[in-house]
Amino acid sequence: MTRTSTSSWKTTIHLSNLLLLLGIAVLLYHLPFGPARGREQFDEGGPEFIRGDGNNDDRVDISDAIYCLNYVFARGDKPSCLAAADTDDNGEIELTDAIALLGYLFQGSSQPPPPFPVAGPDPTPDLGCREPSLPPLPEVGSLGGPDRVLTEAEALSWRRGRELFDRPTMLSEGLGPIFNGDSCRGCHLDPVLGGAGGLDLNVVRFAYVDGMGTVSQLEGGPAASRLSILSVPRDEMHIDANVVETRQPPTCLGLGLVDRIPDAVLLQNADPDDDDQDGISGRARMVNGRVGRFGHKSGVPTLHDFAADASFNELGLTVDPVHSLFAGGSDTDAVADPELSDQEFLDLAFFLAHLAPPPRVLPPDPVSLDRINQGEVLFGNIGCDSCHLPVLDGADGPVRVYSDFLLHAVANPGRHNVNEPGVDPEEFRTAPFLGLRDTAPYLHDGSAETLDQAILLGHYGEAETARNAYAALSLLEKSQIQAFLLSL
Amino acid sequence: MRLLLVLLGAFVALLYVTLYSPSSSAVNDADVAGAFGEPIPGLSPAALQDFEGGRQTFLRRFTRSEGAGPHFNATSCASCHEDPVEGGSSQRYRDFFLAVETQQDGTTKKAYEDCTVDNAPDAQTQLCLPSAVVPHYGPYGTIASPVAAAVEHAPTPAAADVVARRNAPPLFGVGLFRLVSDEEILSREDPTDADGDGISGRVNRISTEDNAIGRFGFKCQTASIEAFNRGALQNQMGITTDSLDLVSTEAPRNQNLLDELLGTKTAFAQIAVPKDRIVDFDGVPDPELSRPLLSDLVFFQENLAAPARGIISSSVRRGEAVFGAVGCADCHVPSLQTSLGLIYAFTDLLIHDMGTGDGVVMEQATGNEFRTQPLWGLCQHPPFLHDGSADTVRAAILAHDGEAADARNAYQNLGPDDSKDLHRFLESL
Repeated sequence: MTRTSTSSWKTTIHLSNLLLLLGIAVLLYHLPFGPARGREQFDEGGPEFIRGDGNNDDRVDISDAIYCLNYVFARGDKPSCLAAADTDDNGEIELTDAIALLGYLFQGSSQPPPPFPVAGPDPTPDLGCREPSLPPLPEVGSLGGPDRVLTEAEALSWRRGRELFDRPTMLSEGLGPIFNGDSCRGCHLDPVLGGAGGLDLNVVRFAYVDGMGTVSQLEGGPAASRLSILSVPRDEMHIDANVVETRQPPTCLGLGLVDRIPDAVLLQNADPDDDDQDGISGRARMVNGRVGRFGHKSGVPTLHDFAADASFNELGLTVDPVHSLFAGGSDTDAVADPELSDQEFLDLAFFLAHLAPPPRVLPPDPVSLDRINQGEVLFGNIGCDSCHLPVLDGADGPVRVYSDFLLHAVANPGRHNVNEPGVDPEEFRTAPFLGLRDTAPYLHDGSAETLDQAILLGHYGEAETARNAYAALSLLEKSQIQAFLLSL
Repeated sequence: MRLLLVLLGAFVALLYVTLYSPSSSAVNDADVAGAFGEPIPGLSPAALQDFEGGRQTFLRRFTRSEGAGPHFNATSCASCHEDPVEGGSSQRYRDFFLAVETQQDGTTKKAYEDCTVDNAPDAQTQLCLPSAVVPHYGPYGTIASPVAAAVEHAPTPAAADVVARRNAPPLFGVGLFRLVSDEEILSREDPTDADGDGISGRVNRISTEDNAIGRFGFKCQTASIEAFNRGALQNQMGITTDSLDLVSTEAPRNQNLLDELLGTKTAFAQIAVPKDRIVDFDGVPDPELSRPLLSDLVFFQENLAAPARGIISSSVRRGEAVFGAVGCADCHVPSLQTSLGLIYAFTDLLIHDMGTGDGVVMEQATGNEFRTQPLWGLCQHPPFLHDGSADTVRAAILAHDGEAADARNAYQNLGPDDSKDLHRFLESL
């Protein structure tokens, strides 16, 4: 009798405690919190913390569990010190961290792993105390997600790269001295992180054109910067500049596919002297021994080069030149070079290399689908696919990007454009169609608001025959081509 | 026993609510806080609809054919007010410049050539800008245009002897400043430092807005949210508007809504009403944003909720005391009385001589005078200061000079514990 009673009593305690715990959790979850915020400034002391002190107030108490629950469930902000909020030290901030903490505080469960109860550095550096939270891994193949299944180590690198892509660079981290953006995301955000940029994010190139129409570069050119750190003036155009070309930030989605196309595949489409006399004479731009394929004038050969080039020229971040001939190894701000560590650069490059191409979304209804299919046929019939090659043989199989990555003289003769060494002002790379539906406005300078304008304004010279064929189509046929393009 | 445990649970919960809940505050506090991007509590369904309409306009990206330009820095409000959500602030990549020319009398004027309605220039060939804002983009140059460079990428004018940088501030809670009475603001004014405390804040009266007290912008240079919006739309986006003219005899677009709102705590009341039409020369008929849409846009910002406080720990409480003791609270006054009750914005809405500045004169604000920047929502807004020059709160505090020199010195002399508490307090805002 006594034994039974004792046992029952213990059970009651146990259940009550759990109920109590759950009650508190539910209650706290529903309390009218504002977003709990706070970014540690680290004015005093290093990244020492107490395990469990999620709200970073130097005490481990119920408010830390609340902070954590608020973060996990109620749109509360990220804990400034993630490792501290990771009560069970498993590398994730989740419900179990709050449960473990409540268990310790109220149920006598085991205490949090070190550093505890005295503040100290993290013996298991995973989440970090200075670093902001890593984003979760999106679904493979989704818009803005990875292009394939990643191993655990790869996934961590990808997530770190994505976080770096998103994070504004502070002056103390090496931003500038001149820059256009303070994060990659600043210009590559449409419609998701890693995408393209809008009209108000174009970069500026300038040059000088003389009375004979000859374009030449001016001192300090061709790029003008939008901004600078406060101790130096921004890098304005040369006072004699009379040619300006603004350039849209292109999408980064799917660039890894482009990077992995072998040179031989691209070179087989080149026809610099128009030997086949079809009026189209695309040529490959060789840069450092590889076919250039990134940038509006194919000036950049590899994805590593692209990342290093943009880090330096758009953000003013230096990278060890061992990673790329395009890296800026040093600059004149007060921050020690390289400003991106090897690890950071490689994470960034890995993220870019495995950012999935935008998935194609086709409408379910047969009428729309038929219009798209008709458009695709017309696209071929009028010769668009002579340069916008639908499929190339990539290293991992067929790559559907609608480009030959060659230079063609196509520019609108009524518009100014700048030259690059060895590339005429009117020459542009065949723009790939990666998520075309999300990248309006179109053309290198964003001057075309609609696809109709893009075709008519941006396709002269080698593309003029195809352009005129398009112009001669009926309104219905034009709308079919546009529907096809907008399905990409 | 079970009862005891339940009671214990209730006690813990009550203790928590008492200690931590920001809502356990004085009766006189305005119920205006909310999550970022949300409306202040208590809007009617009709008002919420307008608020959402305004949000859509705030997010809308204008194309050139819809009126963006001829010169612009951004194509939507949310281009620069995006972090962490629309209505917020921006990182440095959206910073812009003001170019002004100092006059002999000490005032400044915009350094770009003047242009007026009567003397409409050809936007395709001339660089004629409405304000001191340096635009980054302009009309596309053509082979036929002799000054293509100037129209595509406006250079800083040679006449400019002052080029000042601006970083976009957050807009959360900004609408509540229109509900602060003139008397409340004037009560803290001390232009001649009569009390000898070294702090001599004053109001900035806006000549173009019936001499109303300016309360918006880094120099209190605007007295109404409508003016603030119409200015930014024009200077940053090249979007033209007509005055809402809500105090005129002409019926506003939605008299029922207005009647309803005027009867509630969120009255659509403006401090002053800018009356001029704004026009530009990009070939798109003016106004490029209709009055109903502008009205919603203004309404959105008037009713964006104030930032909610973070967790208030004992360290935060100690830090708030340090904040007062150091003298920060002399200008960053914790609360202001509004028609809805007290708001905790940590500003006096006065302009102060900071001993250092950007040389830009705006109405009565001299080159070194700046509005006491509200501190609510502070943690969401690195970089700091009007020019985004401070990476950290500490760097921002150290940049204070002039009237704030004593407080800055006191801050520098704080012990490590007090300093830490002070930062915890600031981070809780």
